[in-house]
Amino acid sequence: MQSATDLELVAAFCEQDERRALGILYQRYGHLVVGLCLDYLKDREAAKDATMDVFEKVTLKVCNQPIETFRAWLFYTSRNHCIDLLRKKIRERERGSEISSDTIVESFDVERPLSEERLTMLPDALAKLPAEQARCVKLFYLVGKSYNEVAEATGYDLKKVKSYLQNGRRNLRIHLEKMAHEQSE
Amino acid sequence: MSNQNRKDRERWIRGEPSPEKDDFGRSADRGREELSSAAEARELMQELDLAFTRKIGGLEKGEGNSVGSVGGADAGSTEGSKSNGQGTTVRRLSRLYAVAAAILLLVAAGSWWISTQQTMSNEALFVETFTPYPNELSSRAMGGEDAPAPLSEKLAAASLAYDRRDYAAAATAFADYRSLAPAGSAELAEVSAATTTDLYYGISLLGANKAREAIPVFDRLIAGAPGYRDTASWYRALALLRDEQTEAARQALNDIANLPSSPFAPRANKLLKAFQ
Repeated sequence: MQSATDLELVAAFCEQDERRALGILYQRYGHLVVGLCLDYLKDREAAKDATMDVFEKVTLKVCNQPIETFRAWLFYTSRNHCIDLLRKKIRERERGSEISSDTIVESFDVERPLSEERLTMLPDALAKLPAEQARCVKLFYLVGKSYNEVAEATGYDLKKVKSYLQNGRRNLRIHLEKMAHEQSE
Repeated sequence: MSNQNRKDRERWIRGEPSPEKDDFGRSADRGREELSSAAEARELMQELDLAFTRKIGGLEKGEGNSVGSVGGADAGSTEGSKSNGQGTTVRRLSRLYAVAAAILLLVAAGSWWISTQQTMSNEALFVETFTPYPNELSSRAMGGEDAPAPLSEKLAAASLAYDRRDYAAAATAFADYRSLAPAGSAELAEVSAATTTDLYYGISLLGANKAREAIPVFDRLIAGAPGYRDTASWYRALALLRDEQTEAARQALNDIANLPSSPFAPRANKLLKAFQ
């Protein structure tokens, strides 16, 4: 069974309820799924939980889809799941930061919430930020740390953290807009 | 585990680039960079193997995957392997604090939300509120007893695009399917199949920013398919919102909010508050 193609394994699972086939698919792709989840969620525990959710989704959905390439299908399934989680996480952080902040920090909501399309591009956009800004944005928005915790984790003073966050958000917006524009051309 | 699978996984654990240069490989490589070391990556994969075995099963033990090796190293103690490092414990505690803080922040955010005047644009409200309805076209009953009849190729393509959230492609594929299976044909003879397709067609149009075209699709469902009335009413309200028909959207949301039996009543109430 180890030498079977992905689609043969999917067929074995769907037609004979062969759990081993699913296990082999996990062995082939588990590291890619958790890698993608880490890329989007930037949090080890969240990525681990998300990976398990994705494979549970696989068991529920894989049999009724006209899958031509399992790898591509798994990529979309994983990415969509992470985007849903990200949207929820960022929304919670936005609302939390707006009411708790007595600071210079502006909000993503000053413009509009990140759409699904923008969230898809978030890892690429984050990778384009200067390292200090990216670090603060990840810790604050994606890991869920407070300003003080970000300062503690990074060694930057609180004022710097707020400044990196403010600039990071603004630059992130710019990169996302630019990437969306390039994609639509 | 086959040699190739083991090699691929080991390559990722060591942080070497994926041989496949597609989006999946690139994203997984970037994600690997979030981990500090190969040891941490290996530990994560071991934890995942255990979780997979527990939840889903199907992983072979003793064939070189980490289920066997972790089980051996920890003498079968899964709890031990889950919290065998101080780092993990600290992360868990941090997580608890983060959850507690998040709950407090959410409560405060809720109060703030109610007390402040929202001035978000219709499009922003739509983006914040819209989520796709779960795809029942592709749901699979485990065991297969009540699995739906085989879907036509077009419908299956539409369903796949919908799941991929490529709403423009889904709307086109649903439209193709509908044109190939006009009303009265065998495919659409079953009312339930037709209305289900209509619902996803409407939602796909809405997601593809064709709210104005989606509204009549939902209107037909509300008038002719009692089983879909609540769902269609909710997406119709969102379509009106996205189409900048603010007053009509408010009225539609009020109607939903005043129907306690509607599963969308709480969401309609929440959205109405954002209008105020």
